[in-house]
Amino acid sequence: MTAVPATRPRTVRAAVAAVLIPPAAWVTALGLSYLVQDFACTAYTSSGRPPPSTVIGALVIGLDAVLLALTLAAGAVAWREHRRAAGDDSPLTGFLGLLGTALSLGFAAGIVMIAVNPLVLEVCA
Amino acid sequence: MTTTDEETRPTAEERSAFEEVWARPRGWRRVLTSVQHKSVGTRYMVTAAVFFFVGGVQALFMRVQLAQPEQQVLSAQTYNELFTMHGTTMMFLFAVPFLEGLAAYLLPLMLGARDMPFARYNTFNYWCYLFAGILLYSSFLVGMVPDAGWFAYVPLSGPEFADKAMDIWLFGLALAELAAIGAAIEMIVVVLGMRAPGMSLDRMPIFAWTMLSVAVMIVLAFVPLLVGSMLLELDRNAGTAFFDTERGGDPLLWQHLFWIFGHPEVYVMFLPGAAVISQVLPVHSRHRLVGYPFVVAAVVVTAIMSLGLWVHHMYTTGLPPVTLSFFTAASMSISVASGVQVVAWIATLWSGRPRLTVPMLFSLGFLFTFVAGGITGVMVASAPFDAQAHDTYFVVAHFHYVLIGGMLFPVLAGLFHWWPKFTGRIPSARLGAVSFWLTFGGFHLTFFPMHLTGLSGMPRRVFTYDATLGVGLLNLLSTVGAFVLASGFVLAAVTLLAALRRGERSGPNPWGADSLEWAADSPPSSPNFGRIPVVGSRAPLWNPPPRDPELDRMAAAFDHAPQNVRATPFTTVLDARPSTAAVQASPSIWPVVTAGGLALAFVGLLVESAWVVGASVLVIAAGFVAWELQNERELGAGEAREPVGGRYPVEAPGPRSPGWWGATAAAVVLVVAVATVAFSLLFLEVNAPVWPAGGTLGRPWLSAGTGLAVVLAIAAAWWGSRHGPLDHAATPEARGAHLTAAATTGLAGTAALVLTVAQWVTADLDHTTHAYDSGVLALLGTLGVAIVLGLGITGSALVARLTHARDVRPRIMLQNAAMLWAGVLVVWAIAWAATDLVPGAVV
Repeated sequence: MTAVPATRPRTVRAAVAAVLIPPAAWVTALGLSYLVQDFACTAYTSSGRPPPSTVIGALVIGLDAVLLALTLAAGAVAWREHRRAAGDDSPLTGFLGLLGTALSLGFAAGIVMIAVNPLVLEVCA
Repeated sequence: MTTTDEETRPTAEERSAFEEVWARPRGWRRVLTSVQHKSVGTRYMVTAAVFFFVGGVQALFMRVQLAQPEQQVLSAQTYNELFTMHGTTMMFLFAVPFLEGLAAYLLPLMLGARDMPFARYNTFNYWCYLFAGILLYSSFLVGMVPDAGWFAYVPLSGPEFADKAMDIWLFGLALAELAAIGAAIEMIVVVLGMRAPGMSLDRMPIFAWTMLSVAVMIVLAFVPLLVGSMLLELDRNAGTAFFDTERGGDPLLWQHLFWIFGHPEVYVMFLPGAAVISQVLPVHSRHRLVGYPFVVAAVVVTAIMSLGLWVHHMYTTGLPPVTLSFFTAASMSISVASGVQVVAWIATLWSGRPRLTVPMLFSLGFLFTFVAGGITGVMVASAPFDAQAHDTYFVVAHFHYVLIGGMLFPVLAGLFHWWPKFTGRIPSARLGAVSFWLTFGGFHLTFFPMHLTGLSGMPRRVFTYDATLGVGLLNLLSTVGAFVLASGFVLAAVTLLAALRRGERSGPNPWGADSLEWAADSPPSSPNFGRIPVVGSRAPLWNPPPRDPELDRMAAAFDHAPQNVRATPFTTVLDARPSTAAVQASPSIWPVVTAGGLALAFVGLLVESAWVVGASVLVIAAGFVAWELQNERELGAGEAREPVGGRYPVEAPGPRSPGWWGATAAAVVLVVAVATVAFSLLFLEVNAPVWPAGGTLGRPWLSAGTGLAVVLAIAAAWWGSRHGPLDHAATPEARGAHLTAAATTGLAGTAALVLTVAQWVTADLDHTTHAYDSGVLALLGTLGVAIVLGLGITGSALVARLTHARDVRPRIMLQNAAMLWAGVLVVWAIAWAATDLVPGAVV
């Protein structure tokens, strides 16, 4: 007979997702911003064609905006689970909720700092 | 520790049998066969300490040379060799291995486990590391010392400018990286699955959180360097063109690959240092760590963001301003996370009743020094400032403030803190305090003046400087400081070693600490805990756990048990509820044999002897086969009396056994490796002035056939893993299905390998003509390696089926094989996308 595995309430799953999404979103934001901007600009320059800076800049900002929204949504879910857990006496969920909220804020700030650059600098200089 | 009502205490005979199972080997067998985590951790730390003192002596030679302008104590060539080996030693042979050793020693104790999850693999990693060090230092014996810097920038390290010394460096590095990646997999599995019952994620020590984060960073960041070093080796000896601009390559690719590793490496060193402080400071402040959830968040943010900072080492390479600004933003962001930890430590000090013990002194030294290094870090994270300070002594000062302040002071704090646990003796507080003041004073005397010499324009990596630069006095101060610093380190070592004989005897918990390692004996017994502790809070020794029948049952089941095989509880990832029993390896000679075979292979490649390489392949193959047979024998013994305590099976399918996690981690490593090669190819494609038009591999049927064969391998292995009862008492009934599945998987894998080779042969590519050809062949080579690993695990599943009577172990092994083959499928998909999809679709 095996030990009965602990149940996985939906709230825990939501809290875990809220912890994992912000880091993944930030990595994606940096990676895509770099790849789209640097690789696209370089590829056009290497092939002797003028790069479409406006389009590339808009694409980078658009991608970052979507990822920022995702990060903040994860933070909202995490905060909700944290509040709920206080009432349910579920310290693990409460911890994960608080952790997810903190990660969401930290990585959201990071995404904003990445996204503002194409607004103030020449994209394919 | 609480007990259940129905519990029966183990008898004297059972205790004796338990001790016998966990007995350490004696004499020479202990040296070569011991796999226990404390033994391996100690070896890592001792070996790393030896390399630290060697690297330190190299630094002293350099400081003597630089004490005055235009000296000739060292020639330019010797200076180049010394700064190369100093950096290489401190980064690859001291810092990371030492911290891995500390983790290997402490994690099972802190988590309430009896060993690391794959103890033989853990030992194999140590031997790889030791052989890497020996290989690197053999360069002095043969008079070919690497001299291209610890970063080995191309083209200086390429075939045109570097001799065989660079090959020694690359092979030594590859072995050290293999060891580090293996150690990371160990850390991930032990933290996620082998925590004491009740130690949910919110109760885990900060050290465990940090080592988990660091292990993920190692897997993601060290694999690219391993791939990069292989690409450079191919350029040097096989004529590929990855870094040759005339054939479509780009030296800047090496910088990307090196710093994708190199910057996270800084945090791989700093974060464990910070974690040591988070363990030490609360104990010596007699107050729990303030802001635990925020410290965890800061650790995660730092770990993740460190993966995205690498370009800030390349600010002066001519990258576009927006590219630089992305990475400046990331570099600035990470400082906030580090600041959160600093605030938490200060708040803990403020809230507690600090004792000025030696560990506390080093912790305070860390705080002061690291904050200073962090501030200069924010300065050099700014691209305009970095453009001025780049390659000057300002940068040398900055990173020594971060690394010595952020890693070495915490290590010394940790050593003085845990020495009573390691040895059962307390080091002299008086000598310890003197060693602190010598190291602290010596450090700042050495490195603070370097800020000024750097701002005065003194370049780094140059063997002398002109008297008219006006930095002679500052350099003299740095040299004096270096000797004071060295005397501090020597005194610290003497203090610790002297305590082995003369130190006051220590009880289990001399500091009144709160984490589980202090519940074990000092020094800990071979199994760490006769009875596995139960955890009910973040400070289990300060707050005894409330009674929880489910947790107590597991503790009772493992009370000096099992007695026929080494085993420890395996618990669930999130809340550490009881799950299964993980079998732990007993002593074995095969890890050292296999690692020796690997080192021999590199030696064979260096001396260009096919005989030596051939012999090494035989040694490696024989070592792995014997290793696998020993594993299966032990698991068979474990199954003979399963389940442990009538409740916890010896392994189970899916994430309830360590093997599943190991297979998943191996798959991730493969995917990161192929993604690195694909990134390299894409980078070269967009940066090369001339790239083959319409450059696709153009072998769609062979490529599709390879993918299909891999899918078949996954399906067959998965199908086999669904057959047969899991229950211990059930009659085995799926032998035929398992054999069919393993054979089908093996045949499908072999077909995939043949088709991959066919692509290589028929592709009409010459890897020496253009970087495109080199990249495509590297992708196919990576796919081939992945398939061979898939075949290896399929062979293990077959061995498991042939050696076990019951069905559960072959089921598990087939499932693990399916996991790894899934990784191979992703490798195939990325390789195909890079060779056919992207070139056909982009530009």
